[in-house]
Amino acid sequence: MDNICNEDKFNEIFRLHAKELHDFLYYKYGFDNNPKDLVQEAFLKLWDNCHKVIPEKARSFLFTVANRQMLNELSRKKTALSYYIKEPRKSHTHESPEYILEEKEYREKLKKGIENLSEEQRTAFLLNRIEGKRHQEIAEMLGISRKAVEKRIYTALRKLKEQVGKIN
Amino acid sequence: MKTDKHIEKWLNGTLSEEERKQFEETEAYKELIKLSDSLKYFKAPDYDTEKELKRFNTNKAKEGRQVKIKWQKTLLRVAAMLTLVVGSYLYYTYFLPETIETSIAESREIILPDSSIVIMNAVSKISYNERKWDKTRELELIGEAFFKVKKGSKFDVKTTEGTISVLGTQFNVKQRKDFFEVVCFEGLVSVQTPFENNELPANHTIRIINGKVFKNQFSEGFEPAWINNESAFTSVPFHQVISEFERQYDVDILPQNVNMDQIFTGRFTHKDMILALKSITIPQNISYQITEDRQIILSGEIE
Repeated sequence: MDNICNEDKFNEIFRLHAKELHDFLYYKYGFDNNPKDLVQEAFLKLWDNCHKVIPEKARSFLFTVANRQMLNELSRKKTALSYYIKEPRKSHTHESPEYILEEKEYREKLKKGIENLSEEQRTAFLLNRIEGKRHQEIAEMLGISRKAVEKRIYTALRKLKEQVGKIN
Repeated sequence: MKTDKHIEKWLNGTLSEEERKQFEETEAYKELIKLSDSLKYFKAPDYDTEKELKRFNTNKAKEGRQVKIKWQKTLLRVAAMLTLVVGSYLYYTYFLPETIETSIAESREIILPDSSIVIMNAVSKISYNERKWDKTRELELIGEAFFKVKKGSKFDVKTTEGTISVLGTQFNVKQRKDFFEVVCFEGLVSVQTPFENNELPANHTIRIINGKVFKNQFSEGFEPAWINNESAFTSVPFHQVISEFERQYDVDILPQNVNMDQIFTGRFTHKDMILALKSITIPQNISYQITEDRQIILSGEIE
């Protein structure tokens, strides 16, 4: 009865997992690789296999498929990863131009640092630090142990610290 | 080194209160907070789930995936219908009995699965289950039929008046309104009625007319006359003769001043209606008249 081939059920699954899948793909592979399109692709794959996938397995199916698809994409395009920096809101009018410039430089360094992280470290680190995902959740998404997640996050942070250097 | 340990614990949220206070004093902590705060600029772009879902459903339809699914549904429906049709066909062929009916003036020869032969007289009906025939040789009869049964297991003919059981023989069963007759031509026939059980040897006949049982012996013939397109009667009430006539010729007979219970012995042919009519009326002193709409009026002598 609980078949995801049912359109309503499928939409429900889309609403439940699409954003998370998108964020995951974004942190893992960056902006240039069109995470939104990859989400679409992954869900189309799920729809094609809807009679084979039970609702409980839909999530891991999506993450696995998206991962594989992205890897194909990457090997084809061989593009460098890149991330998009959101411009901070100009709320602090009293900030000096020097400070603003410094901040900008800092963010550029951080961006470079993130881009230079290994894909494994980056995904775990950003999901944890930006999206506030718990270690266990990330472990499930990546299909690795919690301990490995912790190690990746820590290594990522240390690398980033080295990259941005000391800033006063 | 100590800072590294603190950072690790901070990440995992396992710093003790004391460690936290100590750690927050350090330069490393300030760096960490700055870095951590700056990460917000790298947050994944907004994802509009509803908009993406709409896009997804459009893509899905465009790529014909929806059509495919609908086609599958249609296929399922067709399969279900086929199952139903095939299922009921099998049901009718396997579980429901085979039924054969004859109409007025028609006689028909049926070969049963064990190659026993049934010859059906006019306006008769037999039904039997072909699938079960190997286990039980059993059929139901309404009307009249002559049986040539192959030797083998018990062979039952069920009628509303009783059941006729044989092992292998030739016999005729006539079951009509108010008239039941079994004629045995060969072997031994057992006739079971609700009232009694009769053993009928060759050249014997049993009749039940209005609940009365008559047993008789005859000397001639090895098959009933009607097989050779004649109806023969030996001491039968005249209304039975009339009914038989109506079954062999598609006519209505209207008797006027005719004693219908008078006993009749004789025969009539199935091939010539006028001749047949003469055969049954002349011995009884009855005159007949044929109307335009195939009615025959019989008039008895007024005494």
